[in-house]
Amino acid sequence: MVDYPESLPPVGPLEAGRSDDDLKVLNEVLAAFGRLKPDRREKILSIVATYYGVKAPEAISVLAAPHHGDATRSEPSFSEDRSISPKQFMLEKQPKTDVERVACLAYYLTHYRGIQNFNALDVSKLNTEAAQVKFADASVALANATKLNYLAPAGKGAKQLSALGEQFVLALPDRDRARNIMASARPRRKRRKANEEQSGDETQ
Amino acid sequence: MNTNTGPARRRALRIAIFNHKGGVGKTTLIVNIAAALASLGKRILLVDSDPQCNLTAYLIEESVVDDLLDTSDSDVGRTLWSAVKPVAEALGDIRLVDPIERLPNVYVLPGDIRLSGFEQGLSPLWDECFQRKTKGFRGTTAVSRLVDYAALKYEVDFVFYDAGPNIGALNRVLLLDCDYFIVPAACDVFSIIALKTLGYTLVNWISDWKTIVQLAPTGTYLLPGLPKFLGYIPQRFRVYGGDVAASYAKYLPRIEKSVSSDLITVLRRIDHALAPRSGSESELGQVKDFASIAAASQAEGRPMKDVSAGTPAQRTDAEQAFLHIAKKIIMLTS
Repeated sequence: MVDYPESLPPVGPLEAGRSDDDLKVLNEVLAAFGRLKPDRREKILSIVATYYGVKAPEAISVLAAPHHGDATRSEPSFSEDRSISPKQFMLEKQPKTDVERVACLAYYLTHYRGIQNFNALDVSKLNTEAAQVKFADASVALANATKLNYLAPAGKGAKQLSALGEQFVLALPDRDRARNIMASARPRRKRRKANEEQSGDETQ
Repeated sequence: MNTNTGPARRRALRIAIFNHKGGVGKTTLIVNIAAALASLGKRILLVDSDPQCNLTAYLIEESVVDDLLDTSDSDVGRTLWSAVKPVAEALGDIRLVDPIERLPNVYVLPGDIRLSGFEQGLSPLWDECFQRKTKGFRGTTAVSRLVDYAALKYEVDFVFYDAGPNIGALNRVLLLDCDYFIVPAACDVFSIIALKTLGYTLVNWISDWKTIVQLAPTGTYLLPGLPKFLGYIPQRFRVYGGDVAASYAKYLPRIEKSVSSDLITVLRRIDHALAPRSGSESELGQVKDFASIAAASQAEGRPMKDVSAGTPAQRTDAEQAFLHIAKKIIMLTS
């Protein structure tokens, strides 16, 4: 029996149904992977999967956060990846308010549908497809999302997902982390009290 | 007897919310009852058979409804008209259109303004049924067969037809497709007048269809043609200090009396099973005027219990009213 590296889960009761040969190979593979650094493990795993024509495990293909800005990657971009439905995506992200819902839908449009610039109708249509409750006024929801920096204007009335909105959606469903991201980018308020005092002094 | 008893019909009970008087709150009632049934673990299919598309606009954003209507005549259309268009234009059989999920476990087959055109074509198709022509049966059962498909695919327990406020050819085939119908009645004099003609209209439809069934070639898909009266729901009255306001209260006994004499008695003349309960036993519940939360429910596309407007007490009140009706529907139909 080999010592499992800490980063890998120990072989559990799932192995009960496997043959001895499977278990032996699994132990050997785990032992070999234990000697590698984490980034090399992923690389080797990918090569082995390609060699044997095996599909990548679901856990690392569907819901993993995308690596944005990586121009050299060869795997399909998120706009080509339609493995997750909008309804599933919204269930995963669990937005609580209308503007959060707009941000999530904007993210889906951008990364799963390849629509960078969108309008209220695009968002409403996706909202319907995602089986979400209708917006009382989608245009207002988009305007509010823009005001709160989830979206940015893209010209001719269209909107685009802002960098902040993107980070926010990526952080969901971890609400604390998502809230911190938005809080960190909130513009500092003017010190109204100090200004008022100053103007008061001048008038006197 | 050729009446269809396929798996879809066995699975999902079909109920029409019907009153040919407009403005009695059919659509609001349907959405809230559907949400209440869904909260009790049932799966619901709502069929917007009203060419005014009120139910569709209730649950789907206006811009998306416009888009649905713009594309409904094409091959990618998703409305009720998109499904029945080949039949209406005599180009083939129905196109299977999937409903749209709008609330948890609540699906909608969107309505379409073009259904009024289909309705015009239904009258001659009805006559063709008397002539034993396949085209006539195909047309009159088109919506029913689409609902069969959707009910089976989405494992629906209840189908609700939101019928338009008229006694036209489309409502005739929808009512004859139903297992039950519910009559919402507003507390006003016009609702009572409407009730007086409802019974006779239904009796004529049922009798005509009985004749058609006897004439129909063997193996033809047929509507059941025996919609049972499930009950009535007095609506839209004001409550002051816990009691129905006097100006509305006087209508409640009049509605019950009219239901007994003009609907139940008339239906029982052709078949007692069509109205098994008396007038006093037929009230499914009362729905008072929820005012602001009813308006918010329509604007937000969600049931009254979930809207952002009103007070928690108002929302709980609405939730209880519709849950009571939903439980009664389950009890009476099981």
